Amino acid sequence: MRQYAGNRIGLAVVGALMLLIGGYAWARGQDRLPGLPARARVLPERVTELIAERPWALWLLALTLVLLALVSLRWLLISLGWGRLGTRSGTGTAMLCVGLKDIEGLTRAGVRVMGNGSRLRVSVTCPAAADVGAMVGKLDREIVGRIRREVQDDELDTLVRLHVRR
Amino acid sequence: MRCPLRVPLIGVMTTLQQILPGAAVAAPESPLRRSRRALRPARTPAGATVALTLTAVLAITAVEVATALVGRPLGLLPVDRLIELAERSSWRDLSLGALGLAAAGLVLLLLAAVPGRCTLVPVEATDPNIVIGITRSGLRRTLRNVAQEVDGVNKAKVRLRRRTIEVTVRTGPESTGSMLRHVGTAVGDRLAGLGTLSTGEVVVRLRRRGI
Repeated sequence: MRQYAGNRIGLAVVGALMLLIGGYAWARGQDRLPGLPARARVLPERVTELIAERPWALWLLALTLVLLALVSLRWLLISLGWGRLGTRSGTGTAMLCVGLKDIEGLTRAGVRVMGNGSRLRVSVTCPAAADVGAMVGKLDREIVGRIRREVQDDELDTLVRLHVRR
Repeated sequence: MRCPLRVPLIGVMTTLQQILPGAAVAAPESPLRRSRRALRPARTPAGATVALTLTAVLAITAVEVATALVGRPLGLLPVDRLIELAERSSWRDLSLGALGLAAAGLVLLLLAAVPGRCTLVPVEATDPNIVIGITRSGLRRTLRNVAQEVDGVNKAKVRLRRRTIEVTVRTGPESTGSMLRHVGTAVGDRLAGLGTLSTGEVVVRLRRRGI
């Protein structure tokens, strides 16, 4: 079972690009690149004239920017949970509550099926006075197995999140 | 007055593993490694911030370029001024900004590469397909509750450090050293019962009132 890696991949790509561009500009400014003078203009007149002669290049640039903006928008939405939160499993939640009926003051219990049924997420919140150790043992040995069999199959990856409230 | 007492938790857990039948199931990957892989931070705040900035900058630039091409620039970005600036500046003028950009890139790369502290404290599970974790605040609360149940303890405070769990108890002036052991045992028992992985040893500190 692995944590969502999309953010790390995105950060690595953007970070590497920034490092490359920044490193190139710094090396060029410090006259460390042979054959490329530091006193040269960042945008030479030759380039502006070339672009002015070919307006389609700017349309291509605008199209590329739109595509990149859409890719980063998709990253933003997924990082905020779009398509990753899964769906609530009523049967699983009911089975969890029945399994933990001995725990007094249980405030929150829920089961979610994530990633097209490839993962299960179980969340439980109990009071500080509850025997958390016994609860973990029960979840590990009985309850989660029963929920998995009912919801999908016995080999389903499951993440159990426990929280103790004040 | 502060009197630290260290309780080796690793020893307690090893003994439990030996006693409990079926606890030492041979696994291809260690439970701690498996749990850490599933519970390491997803870098959501950093990812969402960079993605939002990137989306905004790219979308505004695209709109600006497209509207300028049809002859009706929106004016959200001072494109003309930026082009003029690029035409006037030399690479030498950009050195400081370039260094800043490279440093920011390095920070993002480190954020992506460094595993980071687990969002939940991993708890031992017998099934390799199950990963159990308890929130740090939740673990603090349950341990504080256990420490406060020991006779003579007025108040307890728990701190989760990288390699230790520090329990500071406040007692009356008549408290004895055995109370430290009781608190250490109670906290160690709760941790062993919970089966937390990678929490290290328990350090109990005593603060007496009235001395």
